[in-house]
Amino acid sequence: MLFNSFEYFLFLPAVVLLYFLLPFKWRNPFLLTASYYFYMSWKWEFGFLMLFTSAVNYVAGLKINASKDRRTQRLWLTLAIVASLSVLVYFKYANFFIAEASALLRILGADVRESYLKVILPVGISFFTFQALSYTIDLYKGKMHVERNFISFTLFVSFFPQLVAGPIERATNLLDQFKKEQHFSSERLLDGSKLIIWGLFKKVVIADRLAAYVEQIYASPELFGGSTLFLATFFFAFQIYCDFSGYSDIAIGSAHILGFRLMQNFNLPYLAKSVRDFWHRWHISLSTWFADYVYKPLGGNRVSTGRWMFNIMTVYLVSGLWHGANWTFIIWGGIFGFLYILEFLGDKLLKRAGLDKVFYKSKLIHPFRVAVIFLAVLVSWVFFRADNTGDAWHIITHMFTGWDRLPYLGSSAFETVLGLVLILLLYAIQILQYRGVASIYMGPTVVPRSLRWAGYALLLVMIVMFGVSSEQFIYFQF
Amino acid sequence: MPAPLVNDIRSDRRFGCNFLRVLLFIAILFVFDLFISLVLLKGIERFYGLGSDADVLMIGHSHLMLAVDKVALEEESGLRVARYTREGVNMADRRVMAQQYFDICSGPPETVILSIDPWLFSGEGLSLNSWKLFLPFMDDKGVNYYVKSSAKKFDYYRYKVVRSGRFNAQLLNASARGWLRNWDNLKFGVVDTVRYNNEEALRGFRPITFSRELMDDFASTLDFLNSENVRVLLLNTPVWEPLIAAQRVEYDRSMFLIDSIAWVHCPGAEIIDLVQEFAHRTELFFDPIHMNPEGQRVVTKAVSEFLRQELDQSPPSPGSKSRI
Repeated sequence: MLFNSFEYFLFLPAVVLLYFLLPFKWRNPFLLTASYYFYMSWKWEFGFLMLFTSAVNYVAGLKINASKDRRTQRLWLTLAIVASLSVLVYFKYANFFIAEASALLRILGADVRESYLKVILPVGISFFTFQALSYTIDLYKGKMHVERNFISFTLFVSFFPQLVAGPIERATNLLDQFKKEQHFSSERLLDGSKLIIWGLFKKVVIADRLAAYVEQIYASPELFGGSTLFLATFFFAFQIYCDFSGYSDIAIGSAHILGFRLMQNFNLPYLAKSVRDFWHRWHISLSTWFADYVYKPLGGNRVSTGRWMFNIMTVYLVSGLWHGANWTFIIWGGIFGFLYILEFLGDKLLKRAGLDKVFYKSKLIHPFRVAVIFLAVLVSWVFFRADNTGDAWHIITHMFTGWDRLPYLGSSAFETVLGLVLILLLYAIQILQYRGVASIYMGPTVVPRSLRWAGYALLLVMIVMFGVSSEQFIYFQF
Repeated sequence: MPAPLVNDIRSDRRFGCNFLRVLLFIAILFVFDLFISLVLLKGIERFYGLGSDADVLMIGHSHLMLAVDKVALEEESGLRVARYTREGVNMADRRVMAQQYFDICSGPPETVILSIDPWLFSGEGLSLNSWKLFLPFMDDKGVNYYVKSSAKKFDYYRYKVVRSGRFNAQLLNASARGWLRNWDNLKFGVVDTVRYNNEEALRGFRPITFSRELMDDFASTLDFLNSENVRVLLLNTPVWEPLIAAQRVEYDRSMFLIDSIAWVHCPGAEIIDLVQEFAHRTELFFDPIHMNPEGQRVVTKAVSEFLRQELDQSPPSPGSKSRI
C-alpha cells in the first residue's frame, strides 16, 4: 500500500477511528495488525521476514537483560546483529557479491559462470532491520530498558507510518510511546493532516513530475548535451528530496494524528552551508544512526587525524552501500566522505590564516557557501541516480560543457517549465521556513491562519490537478 | 460506557472550533475548485475555438497543431478558424471531438479540415481512457453522457464533484495560451539527424500498423461529416522524408486505404497531401513528425492558398485529390 494511493486514504482514517474507539489494552494489538496488513499487502511472505527480525532482537534483548556477564551479553548482541544483517545481506547484497566475486575470479583466470539468486528485495528491509538493531545495541549499551511485551516490541519494528522508508526510529523515542495511552486531539488531527497534504504535494506534484524528465535523460545520457544533463541532474536533486521528504512528512503526519511523535528526517538540506551541515539536515534519522552505531564505536573523533579520516570514509562508504548494492552508491558515499575530509582540512587552513570568523559569519559569503554545497551535492547525485558508473562518469564529464545549446525540454516543454516553476516555489517556501516565517514540522509561524488555510486549499487543488501517479517512492528500494 | 473516542472529544476544548474550521476549509476548497475550473475551461474553449462559430474547423492531433498556424491562416484566408487539436488523439478520439464541436456550435462550420497521416490506423480504437480527454467539458450534456457511460461510477462522480481534477498540466497550458490568445508553435529547433541516422531507429520511432477498428472509426467520422453537409478537407501534414522511406510500403498502403475509405464514405472529401512538397526539407522539422515554426509558416501558407483557391471554385468532384 502506497502513501500516495487511494487505498491509504481509506486505510488511515479507518485505523485512526478504530484506534481511538478501542480501549487502551486493545490498541497496540490492533495497531500491530494494521501495520502487518499494511506491509503484507505488498507481498505477504515478507511479513514473516519482519517477524523473524523482530523475534531475534526481542529474544536477544531478553537474554542480554537476563545476563550479568558482559561476554554473554556481547554474544547475544553479536547473534542478533549477525542474524538480522544476514537476512539483509541475503536479500539485498548476495547477487552483488556474487557478481563482484565472479568478476574478480575471472580476472584471476578462473573459469566462472555467474549464477544469481532469484530473490526479490523486500520493501523497506534496511529500515526495519536498522530500527530493530538500534534497540538491541542501545540495550547492550545500557541506554535502554528491556521490552518484555512482544506485541509492543513487534509494533515498534513494524509501526506502519515509518515502516518502509523511515524515519528510522530509536527504541528510546518510540517504544515508550506505545505504553502511554494516546488521546484523540482535533488539533493533532489538523496538524498531521496539513503535514500529509504538504508531503503529498511534494511527492505527486513535484517529485513525480520531475521524474518523467529525469528518467528520459538518464536512460540514454549519451544522446544529450551538457545543459540537458545538468538540468536533469538538477531536477533529480529535487525529485529525490521531494520524494523522500514527502514520504517522511506523510509518515510523521500520520503518526502525529495517532498521537505518536516521530523524529524529524529533513531540515531544509539544500540550504546547508557545509557538507557537515548537509548531513545534519538530510535523512537525519539515518545519519544519526550511523553516527551512533558505526562512527562512535569506531572511535569517532577522539582518535588521531588519520584514524578519524578512516572512520569518516568508512561511515560514508557503508552509508552508500546501505542505499543499494551497486558501485554507484558506494562511490556516492565515498564522494561525501572525501568532501567531508576536504572541508575539515579547509577549516583548518582558514583557522590558521585567521580567516575562519570572517568566512563563517559573513552574510555575503553565506549564499556563496550554500551554492557551492548545493553544486557538490548535485554532482554526487549523478552517481546516486545513474544506472552504472559508466553513465555517471559520462554525465559528470559532460554536464558542465556544451552549454551553447539550450537544454532539451522533454516531450512537453510546458511540463518541464512547470517543474522549474514548482522548484522555485518550493525554494521560496523553504527560504521562508529557514527565516522562521513559515513553519517546519508543525512549528511556530507568523503567517496568518487564513493565508495558511488558503495555501493548503491551493495545495490540495494542485494535487488534484497536477498529481502524477507513480508506482512507488524512491527510498522503498532501500 | 462511552467509547474512549467520545470521552476524548468531550474533553477536547478546541474540537468544536476546529470542526467549524474544517467545514469552512471545505467550503473554501469548493469555491477555489469552482473558480479555478471555470477560469481554466474558459481559456481552453478559447484555445480550441470551441463555440466560436468558425468558418473552418480543424480537427486533429499534435501534427496538425504544430503544422498550421491558426492566426496566420485566418489573416491569409480571411476566414475564422477553430483549431481543435489535442495531443495524442487517435482517429476514434477525433470522431468524438468532431461530434462535440458540432453539438455545441450554434452555426456549423463550412469547412472541416480533418488531419490524416500514415499512422491513422496505427494502434487501437478508442482507448479505455479516451473519455478523460473530454473531462473539462463534462458540464456539456452530450459530453457528460459520454463520460458517464465510459467511466467507472466512482471516477465519474469524483470528477463531477471535484472539478479541478478534470484538468491536467497540458490543459493548463492550453488554457493559459487561450487566455493569452497565443497559438504559436514553440517547438524551436531542427530534427536531430544524428539521432535518427539509421533506418532501424526510424522504423522504431513510430511504426505504421493497421487496425480494422480505426478504419471503421475513420469511416464513421467521414459519414458523420458527410451528413453535416460540410466541405471536408483531409490534410496530410508533412512528416520527415527518411521516416517515410523507412516504411515506404506501409506508408503507401496507409495512404491508399485513406483514399479508398474517403471515396466511399465522403465522396466530396479532398485530400491535401503536403508530404511530397515538404517532406525532404529537414530544416522545417522539429522532430521526424512535428514541424518547427518555420515549417508551420510554409505549411500554413500552402493551406491558406489552397483554401483561397477552393473558395473561388465550385464544389469539388467526388474523391478528387489535390497534391500541392
